[in-house]
Amino acid sequence: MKNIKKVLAVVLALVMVFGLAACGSGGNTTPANNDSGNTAPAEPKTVEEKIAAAEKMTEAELIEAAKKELEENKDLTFNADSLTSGVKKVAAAFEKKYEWAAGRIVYNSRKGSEYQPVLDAAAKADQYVADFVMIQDAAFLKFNMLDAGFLLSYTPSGDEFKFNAGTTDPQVGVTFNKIFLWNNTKVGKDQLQNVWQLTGVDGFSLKGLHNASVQSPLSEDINMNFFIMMTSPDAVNRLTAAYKSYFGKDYEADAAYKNIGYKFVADFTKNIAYWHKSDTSEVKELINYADDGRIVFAGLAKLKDYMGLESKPSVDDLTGAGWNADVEGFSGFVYNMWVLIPKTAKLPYTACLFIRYLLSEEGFQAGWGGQYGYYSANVNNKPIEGDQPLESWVKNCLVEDVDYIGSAYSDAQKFIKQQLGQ
Amino acid sequence: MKTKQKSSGNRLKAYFSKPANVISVIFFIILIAAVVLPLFTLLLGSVTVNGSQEAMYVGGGVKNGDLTSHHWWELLFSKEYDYAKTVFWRPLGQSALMALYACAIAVIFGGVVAWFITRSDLPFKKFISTVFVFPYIMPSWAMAMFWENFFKNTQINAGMGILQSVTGICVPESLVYGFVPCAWALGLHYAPFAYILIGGILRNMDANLEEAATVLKASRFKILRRVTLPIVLPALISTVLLVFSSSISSFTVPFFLNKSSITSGNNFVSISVQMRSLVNSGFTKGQGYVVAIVLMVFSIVILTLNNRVTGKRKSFTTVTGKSGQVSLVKLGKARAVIAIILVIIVAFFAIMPLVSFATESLCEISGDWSTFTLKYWLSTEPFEGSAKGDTIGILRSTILWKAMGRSVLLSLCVAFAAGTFGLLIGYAVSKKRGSRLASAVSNMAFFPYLIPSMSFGAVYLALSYTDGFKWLNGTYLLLFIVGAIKFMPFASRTGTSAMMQLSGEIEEAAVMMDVPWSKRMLRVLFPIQKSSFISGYLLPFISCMREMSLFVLLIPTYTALATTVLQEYSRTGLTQSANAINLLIIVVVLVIQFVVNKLTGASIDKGVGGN
Repeated sequence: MKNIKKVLAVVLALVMVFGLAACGSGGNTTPANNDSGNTAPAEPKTVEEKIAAAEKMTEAELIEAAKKELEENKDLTFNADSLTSGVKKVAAAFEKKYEWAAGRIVYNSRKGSEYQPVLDAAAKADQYVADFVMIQDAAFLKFNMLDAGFLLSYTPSGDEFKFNAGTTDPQVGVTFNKIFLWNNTKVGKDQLQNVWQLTGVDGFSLKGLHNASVQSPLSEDINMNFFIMMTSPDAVNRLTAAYKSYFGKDYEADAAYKNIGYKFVADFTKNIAYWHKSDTSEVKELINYADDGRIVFAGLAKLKDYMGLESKPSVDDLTGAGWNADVEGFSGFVYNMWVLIPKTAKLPYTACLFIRYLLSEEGFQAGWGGQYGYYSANVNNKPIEGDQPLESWVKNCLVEDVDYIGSAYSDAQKFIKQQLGQ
Repeated sequence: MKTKQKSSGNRLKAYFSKPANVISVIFFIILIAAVVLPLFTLLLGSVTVNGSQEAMYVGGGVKNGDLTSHHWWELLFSKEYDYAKTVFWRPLGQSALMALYACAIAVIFGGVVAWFITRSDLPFKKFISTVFVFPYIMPSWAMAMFWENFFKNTQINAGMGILQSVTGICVPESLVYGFVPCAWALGLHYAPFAYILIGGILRNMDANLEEAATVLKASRFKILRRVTLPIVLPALISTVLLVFSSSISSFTVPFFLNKSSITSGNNFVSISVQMRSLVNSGFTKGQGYVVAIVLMVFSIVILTLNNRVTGKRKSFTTVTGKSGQVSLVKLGKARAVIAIILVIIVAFFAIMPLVSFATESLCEISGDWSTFTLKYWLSTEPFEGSAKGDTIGILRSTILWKAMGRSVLLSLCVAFAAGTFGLLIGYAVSKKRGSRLASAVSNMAFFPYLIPSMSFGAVYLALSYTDGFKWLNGTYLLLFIVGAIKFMPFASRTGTSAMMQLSGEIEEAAVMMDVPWSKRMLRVLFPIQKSSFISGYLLPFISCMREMSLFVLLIPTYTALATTVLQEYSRTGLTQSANAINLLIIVVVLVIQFVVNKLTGASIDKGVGGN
């Protein structure tokens, strides 16, 4: 009986824990400031105010403020959450440059779809999640983070920084592009010239292609956004012109499709020969696709995985003709990754300095220098020699437009899923 | 009045004097808190607007948090672009069929091997038994990857696979990608599970029962149908329940084995892939919850079937405490042939994937031995441009070893908690069989298995941001709690099956000798069914060691666990390192299983009778 009592006591203690869990689950609206474990430091200024102040500081003043902040909070580490490993390299370089921050910067790898629930939960509870976040997915950013006022922008100033309109609020860190890549050894560099070739139908001079490999929009959010953008007014204009060029006649509206973009999505989806599971792995496999010149839709940045292998063809073999940056219609998809500060950050000055460094030439080189497919929001930072400038990609590709995606999502994703589910 | 109060007090005292009642009540309360909460959250999410993105999708001026039936209507009935049919009904039907095929493969393959190991004089039992559980230790996608690597061929433009390079044979695309390979990969992955559960029962079955039937001149088939099958039926249904639930909601296998073009006819979009797509999009989260609930309903139907079998006293006591014997069926001339076939099949599906992990980790280019390198195992120089030094050879990486240590520790703690909970629940359910409380506890203990891992993690993530529980945020204690609850079903099913087999006379004899309950459990009941109970500890351990989705939202950093480091390497293109870690995890599990075997004399395969 004594033993039963002991077991009973232990189990009752567990019941209390879980019981409390059940009782407490309903309320998640209490502000963060009351919690002793995760509170922001008891500063008179809010994070918003500190960011505003930082924007007015000189670099030296900001460095001083960040240094003071870290010294006053010796028990804290600066948490940088990002889905790109470039930030890890930036963090290492940052620690090297600012020795007083050495050992205090922690990089956390956070994949988009797995990180969004974490940000959502932190935003709802107004809780600390990190000091710096780098995320993609414009729709999530706008509707869940910016509208809720949870993620804030810091834009550095000075001669060394120059930003295009529309890239500072929210602050873009790096822009990416996904394009059509192939091994040109046998098929040649001119394989893909008009986007309608990807529907598999022959044009009057060019032949249809039947070897596209794409990651399914069902598992890759960015690709879903790309497919949705194919139905946008901008894509309609591009596709209509490319149609005329490819087929030698004007597009005649088809009642089965809302616009030419829908028709392209349907024809393109049916003609995709392979649904690869990882852009990284598929680009690595390009070496094996010499015979059929498989056209892989993937980030241009993924070339680093292909070219990183010593036994593969040299950079020149591929960069000379592995893709066409000027495909009639569109060459690919351009989307952003934003660098932002949660309003619950504990080290906002350090976050501002970190963003300033990331956007500087030195920071960009540390994170993404020498690689194709990375374009800094600071236009003073040029892409690698041999790559096109971002303006050129923007001109030749579909660009992620959060307003269009938000308004068209319901209809377009249903249509896309219908095509994928056939 | 006083007499009445005294009498009800006495009744209460009498009620709680029975350990089974105390356990039932306590676990009823625990499970209400730990299981009903996520269930309620899922249900609520399926009828409310989850965020402003979803509000925009639903339209009609609804706001975040508003109640809506839109998710259900849209997913189940929308005819716009055949939405309901394409996104829900067709994938659901195909996935259910795939899960049934996987069940059949797992039960037949696992059951047959279990029978040969426990009831026949087959040679090489130890080898077959030890190796047979390997596929279950691996993540399910490992089997999918191996399937593809083996069967892919140049005729379908998928590159040369092992079969083609060795024999020149090119199998049709429908055997490489799509529905059929998914069912096989899942069936083979879960076959060891069937082997463990069914084998545990067969091993403990007194052969006198079958011999009595033989004496009564029953035919072999009749004995199988009327004696053996009814005895293993609870384990069989438990297996079907677990395999079906896992298979229908499996994401990775259909994800890996669906590369064919839509026009090929082999394109297979499973309901789990659709669910992941819906849940991951901020616009359609609620619809994802609807799919999760429907999948649970499927499993509940099987669970109800299971209860009818075990609840209405159709299970059979096979461990009586009286002398029993196991006489082995003599296979005669077929003995050697069957043994060779089994050894080849088992070795093929269990060892070849490990070999493939090893080779993948040793070549810069997959399958190209001219690019052989030990860099991904031994390099002390950071590669992939890492300045933080965590992408060095995995055997030299302190980050990985620390992560591995945390994984092992977490899995041991989870296994201990889940296993003990399962054992206690099994005891209570068997003692209170047929009562509503026991039935409720038994069912609730199984529910965590039915909730998709990611959703389960998401509920506890939200909890850790709630007042009163913020101290749990980002802690390993949270991972422990979530793991212990999520993996409890394994232990509760094995615990219940094992306890059901025990005759009440055994404990009654101890009661009459005034042996305290704890001693009865530890000295009498546990030793008798040790092999089954140890399985109840080992299964959560193995599952926890290779778990990723459950913990991914809750970990403070990717370096927290071995599987999250693996995921990070895989994501950043370091597939060689990812393969090496995968192999290392399997080796660590095998080593721990070996140590458990040496210390306790029990192991998963020995429980079945490998020795």
